Amino acid sequence: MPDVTISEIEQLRAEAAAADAVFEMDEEAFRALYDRTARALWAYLSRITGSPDLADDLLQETYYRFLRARVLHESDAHRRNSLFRIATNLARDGHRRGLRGRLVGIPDDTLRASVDVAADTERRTDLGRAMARLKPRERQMLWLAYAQGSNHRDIAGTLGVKVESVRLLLFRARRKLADLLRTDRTTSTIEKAVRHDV
Amino acid sequence: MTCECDREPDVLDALAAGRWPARCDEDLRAHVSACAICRDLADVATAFAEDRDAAWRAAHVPSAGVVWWRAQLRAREDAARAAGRPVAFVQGVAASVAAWLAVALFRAIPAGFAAEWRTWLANVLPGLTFTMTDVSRLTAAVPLVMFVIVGGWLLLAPIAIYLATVDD
Repeated sequence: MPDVTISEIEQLRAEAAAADAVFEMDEEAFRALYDRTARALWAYLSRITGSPDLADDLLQETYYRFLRARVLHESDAHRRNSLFRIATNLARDGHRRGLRGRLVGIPDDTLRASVDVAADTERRTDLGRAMARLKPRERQMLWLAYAQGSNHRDIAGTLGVKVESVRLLLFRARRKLADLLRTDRTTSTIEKAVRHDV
Repeated sequence: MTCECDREPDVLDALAAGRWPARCDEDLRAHVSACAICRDLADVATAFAEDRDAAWRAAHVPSAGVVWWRAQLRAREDAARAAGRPVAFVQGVAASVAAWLAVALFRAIPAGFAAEWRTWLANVLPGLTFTMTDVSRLTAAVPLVMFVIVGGWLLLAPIAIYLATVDD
């Protein structure tokens, strides 16, 4: 083992302290927050961008920007909302720069070939296809409301819209998605029937 | 246009508790089949709940330690870049002043010696058309001593800033 002098140890301690001082949050607090939020945030990014790879990149960037923001958060819910707001803005910027992934990764031929897939997988495919036809804000709003369980105030804060507008926007997005899901299921049922006859 | 139904919280509660549709009240099921708003809500919320569970299972996020370490590394890089920005600016200013200084020094050298250089420059750069009169006019406004002082200071400034901000 190489010899380490006292001055070197002091230097390493000073470097560690300087590194910690970069962020307001210490490592322990960050680990606790990350463990509570990372999967939910990744799922959100993955679904609104349509790309798991892009979600990986944006996840790291989201936490970095969160740590650098040096905002005093009142509560855990406030921290969570800040994270989702940063993630939404990053995804929006990525969408503007053309970094959006393909929201429907499964071509129709593959879908037709896999008629016997489990029902829940089929429903998820339907959802993915229907989501691809929604506007980015509609996707974000619906995910926050029904996958995250966020209330109208949190959704408004995350997406930067008025709280009063959320109710109507959410209603319209939900109706649009429900119609798309029904249309997809009807089409799928007809195709199955035709294949069965053939 | 009505965009809300009073039974929406009941539908969401049943979904969150995993009671929808098999283990919830017959009354609620009957309402959902008759109410377009609650039917949309049940369809969409069910689809999202399934998709969220699938996404959570598929999520392979890096460990908190890795994300923290990368963030620290990035913060240091950003800090170094931010510290280098004024130095680069000062270097740019220094370079432009140095160019002026060179012109001023060129003006200060004896006329006979300058004429030889002009001839040499004209051979090297045939397209060059400026004359000593142009240069004189340009530099006459500012005294030569001022050029030397400001130019020298701006050339030394980047080194001074570097020594003041360097870690070790």
